[in-house]
Amino acid sequence: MDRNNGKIGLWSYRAGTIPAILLVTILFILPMALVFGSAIREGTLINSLEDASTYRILLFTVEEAFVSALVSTVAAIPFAAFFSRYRFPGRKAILALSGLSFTMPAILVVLGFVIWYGNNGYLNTLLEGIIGCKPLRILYSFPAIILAHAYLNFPIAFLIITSAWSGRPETEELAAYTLGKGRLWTFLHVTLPAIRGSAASSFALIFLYCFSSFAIVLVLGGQPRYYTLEAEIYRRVYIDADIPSAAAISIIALAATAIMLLIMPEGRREKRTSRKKRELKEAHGGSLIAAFFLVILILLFLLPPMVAIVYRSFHEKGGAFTTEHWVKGLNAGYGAMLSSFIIAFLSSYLSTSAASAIALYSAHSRSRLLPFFTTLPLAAGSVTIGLGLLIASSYIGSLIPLSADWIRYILLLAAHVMITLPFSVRTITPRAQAIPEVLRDSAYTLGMSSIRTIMKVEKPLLRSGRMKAFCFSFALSLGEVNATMMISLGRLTTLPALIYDLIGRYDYQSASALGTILLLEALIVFIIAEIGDKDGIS
Amino acid sequence: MRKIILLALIIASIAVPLSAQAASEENTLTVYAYDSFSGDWGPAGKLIPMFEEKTGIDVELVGAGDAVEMLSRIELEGSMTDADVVIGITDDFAYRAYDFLEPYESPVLEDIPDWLEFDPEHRLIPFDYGDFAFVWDSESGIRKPESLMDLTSPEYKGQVILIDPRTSSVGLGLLLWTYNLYGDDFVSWWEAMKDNALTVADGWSSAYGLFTEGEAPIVLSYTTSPVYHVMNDNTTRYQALIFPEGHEATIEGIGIIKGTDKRAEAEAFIDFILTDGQADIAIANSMYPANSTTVLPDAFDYAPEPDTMFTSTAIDEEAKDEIIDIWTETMAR
Repeated sequence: MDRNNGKIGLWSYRAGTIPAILLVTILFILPMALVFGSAIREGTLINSLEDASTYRILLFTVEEAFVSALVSTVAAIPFAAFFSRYRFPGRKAILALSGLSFTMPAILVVLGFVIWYGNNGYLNTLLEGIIGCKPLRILYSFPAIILAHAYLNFPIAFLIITSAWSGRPETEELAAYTLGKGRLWTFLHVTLPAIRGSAASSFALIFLYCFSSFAIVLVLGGQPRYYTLEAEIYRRVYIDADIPSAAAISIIALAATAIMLLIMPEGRREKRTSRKKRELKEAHGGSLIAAFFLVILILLFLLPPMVAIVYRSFHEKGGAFTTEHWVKGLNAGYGAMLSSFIIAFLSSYLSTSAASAIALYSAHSRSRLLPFFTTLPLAAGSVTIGLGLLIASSYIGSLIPLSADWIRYILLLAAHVMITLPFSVRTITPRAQAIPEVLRDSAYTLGMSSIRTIMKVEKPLLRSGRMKAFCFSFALSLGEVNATMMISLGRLTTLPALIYDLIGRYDYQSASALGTILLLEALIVFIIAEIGDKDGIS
Repeated sequence: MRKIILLALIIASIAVPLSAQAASEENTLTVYAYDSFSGDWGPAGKLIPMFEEKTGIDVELVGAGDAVEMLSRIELEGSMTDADVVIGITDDFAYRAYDFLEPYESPVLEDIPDWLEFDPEHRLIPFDYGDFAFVWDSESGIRKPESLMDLTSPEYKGQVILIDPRTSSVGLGLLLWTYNLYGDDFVSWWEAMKDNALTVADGWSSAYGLFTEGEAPIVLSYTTSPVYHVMNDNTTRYQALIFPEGHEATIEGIGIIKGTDKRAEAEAFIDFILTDGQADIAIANSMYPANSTTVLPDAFDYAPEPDTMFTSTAIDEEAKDEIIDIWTETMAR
């Protein structure tokens, strides 16, 4: 393919990414360098590499992350196939809802799972009323870890694949049918390869999220050998106050995730030849019944733990109704709600803007390095990001004459940008790659400058991707707690940090009340996004 | 429209740290407190205003995580710390804090029993203490365990919630308890206990939460835990098990950060905690007060004190690491 034309305007794409690269360098690479420097200076890296238990933990971490990512992604494919083909009542509501469980901080998932699936949970209590005993022993096992991870991450795979799938026209499938190929053959040889990119991308994301899982693995796993690298980093920082040795584990974790990112198969690049998208078919008859079943399945999976939390917020463990804990929770949580919202909004805005610049550039230059570079914060995990920024804060304090609270606030925002950026980049990049070069070239032919092309032609095409990225960033930031607690050091409280606090006083009921608010906030954002997304794919 | 909203949010976002800043003025005593002390549900909500009114000294309370997290934070911040006083460091980790503290011979020390004074130099002064114990649900229908050894009996399979000593001081408490009791043979107890554990939680709060949600009838906690249920839920259903082998004790201390410029205010705060604050702290934290003259509510009758208590003040870091390593090996098999 002749790419000369495309290269004319490359400099302006490059210029657009400079702020983004500066952002990642200053807020991520430099703090990481500080962390790693200490690990190498103190020799803890060698110690950890020589320690057999490091490999045992690493092995388990890879295992749980791999299984979780595989289960979530594979489970999502049939649902995505259906949701990207048919239109039916409740379709948008399900898409919005599935974004919700993704918002839940891990501790809330643990809470919801215990309240619903627990040995003495609502599900068992319901079954006891029917069959006379509490039959289910789901939690405290390896499958429980996977179930909880799938609960958090199935929506990622579902939404990413649905959106990619409905973004491509059905012409190739139709061609296959015309050639007399069967449905299965077409699915395996045409459709599957076409969605490979988005499936791989969601697999990688989920793998990384589960790689840094902590509370779910420890509480729901139920055995000391279910223990992740992130838990070990946490232990070394919080319990031993030994940053150099925590940094050593961070390096090992980062190396493992970086390797994983590099070997992930990349999907075939789909160049969209027209702006026309797939038309959703109206579901009727058999497909309407199928839609009904799939909707019920998703609802049965996603709703109960959330509903259990809402229900629990109004009821004592014994069953008595009360709103007392709502009053308590709201009084304590007012400020936290506000700061959570502001931090989530600003950080998502920044990360989405940075991500679209990066996505456009990497789509043009076919750079794999840049997306990899910007995914590094995800590979490092939020505890490590918090750790790096915490160390950096003392340097910043001596350089810039700002009060400690200001610095904490800015760093907190920075941490949230870093944590959401990888997600934004990964969501927007496939959309940028799908912009046909013809469009850009014709814009140049018509005498448009490259900057105008970006602003008037390409950015609008990225709109739905940006919207999606913004929502997920918002949700992610709203639920983020590890880095937040590390940096804010008790002075700035966010909603999930407060929920942690409440669970720490085993006030499950007030925690459930605030958890309900968190879910509501996220729900509103997703609804706004669905309404605002005029393309209406997903 | 979008620009206006964005602008409004940016302005609001500037207002948040500004209002946070207003709270931290120059002439205040900064107190680092562990979670069970700070916050609206801890004793701080009542005690801090009481102290401010009594002395005219303003206090800024910083919630700094649980006891060990708070200690780590003081180590990490070093001389940069804002703290003048730190409250809630336990005896088993005290050796890590001493370098950052200065001694204080409080006049209240004479009301504190000698066995509690784990630091002869009084850099850390005990203000409360507790004993680790298993708490059981007396309405669960299981037989009441009679001793620590009895807990390993196969009838308790999947009935006990334990806590990971790698991530929790309560979890470490049980590990040291078995070590003090059985010496190097502590491994056998854990081997026998493996099947009886429903789960090994990451911290006391998640473990106790699972317990009160009814996930298992036995949980690792403190002898004083039933007090909370008597006072708040008006139930004696949850009872602490006193074992004949004895119990591991944990003593919590308060101290003055080295080099503080608020020495007098810090001393006043400590004396207040050791006198007026004792009953409220004991009730809110579910701990026994260190000051022996404290009058406690009747609910404390449900917090039986064991006859035999061990402390692990003497076990150093290296030995502790080794015990944890052995435990990890044992449990991972």
